[in-house]
Amino acid sequence: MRRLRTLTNAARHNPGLTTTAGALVVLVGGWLVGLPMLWAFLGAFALIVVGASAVNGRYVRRRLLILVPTLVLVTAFTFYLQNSRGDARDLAFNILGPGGTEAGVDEIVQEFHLDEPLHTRYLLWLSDAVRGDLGRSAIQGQPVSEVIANAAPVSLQLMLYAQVLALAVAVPAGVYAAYKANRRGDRVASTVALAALSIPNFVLAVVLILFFALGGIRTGDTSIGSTWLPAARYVPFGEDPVEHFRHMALPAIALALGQAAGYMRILRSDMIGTLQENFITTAKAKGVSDRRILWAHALRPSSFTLLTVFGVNTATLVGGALIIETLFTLPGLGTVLGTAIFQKDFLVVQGVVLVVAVGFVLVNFLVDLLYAVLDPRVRHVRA
Amino acid sequence: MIRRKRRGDLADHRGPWMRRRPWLGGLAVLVLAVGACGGNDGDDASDDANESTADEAGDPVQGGTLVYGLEADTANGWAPYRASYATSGYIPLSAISDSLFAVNDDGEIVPLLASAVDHNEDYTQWTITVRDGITFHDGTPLDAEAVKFNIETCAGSPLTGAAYASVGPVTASGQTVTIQTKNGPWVALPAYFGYGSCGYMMSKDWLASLPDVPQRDPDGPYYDAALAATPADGDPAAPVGVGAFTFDSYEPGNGNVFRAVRNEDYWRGPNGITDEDLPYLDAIEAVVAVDIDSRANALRSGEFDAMHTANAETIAELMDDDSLETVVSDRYGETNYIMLNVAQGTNAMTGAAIDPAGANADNPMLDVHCRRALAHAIDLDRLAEERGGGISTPANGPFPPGSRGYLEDSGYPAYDLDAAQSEMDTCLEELGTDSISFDFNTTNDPFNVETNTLIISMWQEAFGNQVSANITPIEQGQYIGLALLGNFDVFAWRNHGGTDPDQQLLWWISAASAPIGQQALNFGRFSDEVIDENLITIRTNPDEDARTQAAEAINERFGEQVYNLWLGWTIWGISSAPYVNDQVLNTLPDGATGIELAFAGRHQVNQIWCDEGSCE
Repeated sequence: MRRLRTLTNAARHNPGLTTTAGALVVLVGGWLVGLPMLWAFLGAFALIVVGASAVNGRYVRRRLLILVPTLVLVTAFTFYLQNSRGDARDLAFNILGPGGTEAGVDEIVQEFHLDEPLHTRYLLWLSDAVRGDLGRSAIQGQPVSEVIANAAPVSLQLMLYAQVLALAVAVPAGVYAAYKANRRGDRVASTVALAALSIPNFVLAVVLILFFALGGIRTGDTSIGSTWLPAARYVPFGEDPVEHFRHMALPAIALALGQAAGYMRILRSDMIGTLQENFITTAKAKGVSDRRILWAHALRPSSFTLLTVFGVNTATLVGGALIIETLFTLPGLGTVLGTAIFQKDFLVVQGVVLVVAVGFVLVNFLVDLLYAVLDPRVRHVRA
Repeated sequence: MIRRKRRGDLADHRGPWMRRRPWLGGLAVLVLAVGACGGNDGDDASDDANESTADEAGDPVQGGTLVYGLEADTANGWAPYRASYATSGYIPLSAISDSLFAVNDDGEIVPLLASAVDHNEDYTQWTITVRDGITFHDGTPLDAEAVKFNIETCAGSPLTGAAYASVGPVTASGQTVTIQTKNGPWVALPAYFGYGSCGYMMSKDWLASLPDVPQRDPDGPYYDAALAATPADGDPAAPVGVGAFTFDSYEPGNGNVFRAVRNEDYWRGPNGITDEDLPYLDAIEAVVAVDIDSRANALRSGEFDAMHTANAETIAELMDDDSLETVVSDRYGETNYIMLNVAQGTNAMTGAAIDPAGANADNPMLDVHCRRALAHAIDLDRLAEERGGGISTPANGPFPPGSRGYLEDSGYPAYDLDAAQSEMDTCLEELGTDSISFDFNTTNDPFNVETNTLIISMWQEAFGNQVSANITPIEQGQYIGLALLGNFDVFAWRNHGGTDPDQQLLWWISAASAPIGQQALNFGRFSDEVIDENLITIRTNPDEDARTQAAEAINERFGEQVYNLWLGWTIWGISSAPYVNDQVLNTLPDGATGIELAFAGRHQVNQIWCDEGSCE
């Protein structure tokens, strides 16, 4: 009862916490009931924005003011990178692919306004892009938005599982290492983390496949390893939840382990500093248990750097996913991007880069908002 | 040619499949013993195959979903006139439809969807009768009108039209289609409707509903105003054929699946017209897994039930894996080679200048002695051992053993460093230089880059500073474009599979050679009157001996002029889990044995079955 009252009070003082919890419910609930992932993410995003606005509206408005020009810059840069290679006809050939004919080039020049100045083309493209029209892939014969919409859930799931797994490992390990700072437990945890950080995820993926999918290594009659988990393919959650997780386990672990090691080291470092703060000394003097000090008092103020790195890493995971998705034959954005680059599928490359870049900006915007929810120093600032 | 093991005593290394199918071991030994000795080596073995399959693997059982790992996706949907079919595309295609003609185990073209084929005396008119009672998956009949429509889509398409340039007016009546040829006799016409994509029949209604079907093109030869006025709402990615499996779903891209389910009304099934029980599988799922290691791992871990590859190193590993069953073949396969740009002079057929701008004037490959020198300096046995997993076969021409035109000694320069140096000295003297240099294009696939780097190292070992080759890796998508336009000095390539050398006409005839910068199918842009004359003989002369002699003459001409540096004949391997049976079996409706794994990895999927009807 007392705990419930405490939670109610916390929610009243910090509505951001309530909406953040609501966002989590939307994500998990939406996923369980089969809500399209994009809608679930948009719903969660909106809840966090509303919550953060209630906590510190001015801070959110300032972030939004920065967000808009950032998005314009990101989209302009993406557009420029892809459209600065040659003249209008070169670009049209790029779009058509190797089978392009002169007549086809003329059509593409007209359709994509390639004879217009770059800034006019950018505005036309942006106006199409915000309406979800990213063009049509000549090689795949599909609208680019459809290609991305099909691939994005796979990558989002992979990144979500990898991040959840990384945090699930890193937070207890980081807290433990900080608690046992410079003692044997800390040294073991730090050594393991360093080793995990040193192994590239594609090497780890191959090792995981060997030991968990292909039966491992055999010496005489003894076999070290198993065939518990699949080495390839994607099974949608809605088709078979158990098989979905079995198929996502190895790629998620391969992506998560390096992340977990980094998170663990960051959390450990920040937490060691926090544990030397006066309010921790006061709590100890008042006889608060170590567990409560660690989890209820020290963890939150120690997690802001972790939160920042978490936001940055979410986008960089796409780079890792490019290799991991290929190794595990997952039809995600990384695979789509890699294939499109090799096939010179110009519009798909442009579309995926745009989505990843915008996603990166939005995730980091979200992280900024979470500061307002979690950090009293940000929450109570009145500029 | 089918082989199971690569080294040592085959009998000592038999895996599970070999134990259940002793015929294949016998065939492999036979093949190794007699070497490449023509197309009759499969007769006895095939008879044995039928017996031992029934005796030892039991009767086929219905049921199961086969998951097949493909090396690549197919671009531009599945309609034959517009899709870029590679080997990987033929697995879904052969599930969805069947071809007008098949190839029997002797390499002969025989009717399949057709019931009969005939021609007039001078081979300028062909009459094809189609079996009655076959329906497409949409319920429409396979009749002469449907066949005519299919033929015209391919003849009118920018992608496939060049191969069907000799197709003249086509008429349809009932179940009989008549094709007039253009440009004289065409003795090998049925081969063009056999194992190539345009031989596979698709529903006329479906083709007609596609937005870019040639009959909708007002500037095309088959424009149909009434058809063009109808809605173009068809989906080129949802094919409608007559095959053993009906299209269910498809998502393009790596990791995605093409799924087809059993066609209960298959013409070779219980409700069909041939008293057969095909297919046995409930469904087939073709999953694109571009990375070869991922594909092999997925097979080994049980995610895939079968897969294919042309990577000789991987094939060798799969053959050594006793937990898998691997079929290997190079029958009527493609040849790996280095294409040389020899664009110069005047086109022997059109009279036009081949390189009017002199874009290729500095290419040392214009000199036949330079070409011969490079050929003499490539150690093909070493190449086969180091890059071909010890199982690939060095090539001495474009026709592999068993194909018409194959010669044991084609006159192609053999590995001989003294002869190489002598030719190089002549080359340098004629060019008036101390050294030659050129760009060597290859795809950016690491395996190909390494292979071609090895070849360059052989030239450097042989000639030192006299030869400088700069390797240039290029993305796959851009690669074909450079070949079409002739923008290269030296180019790694693979092509020329098939049962009939007539199918090489469009790649080698002078008329297919255009100036650099214009698209031409004769990529190397050679214009050779001897080759032209013999290609025309092959196309127009019905005398089998004359056609064989013409093909051999072409082979010898290539050996003499060295327009290409032949490397090896492509091997394809199909590997599957032990519960998968008859992976490549191809019994024809009349009970005769059709060709199994051939034509660069193509095979039928309608006779595959899994133990106890479960592919797990």
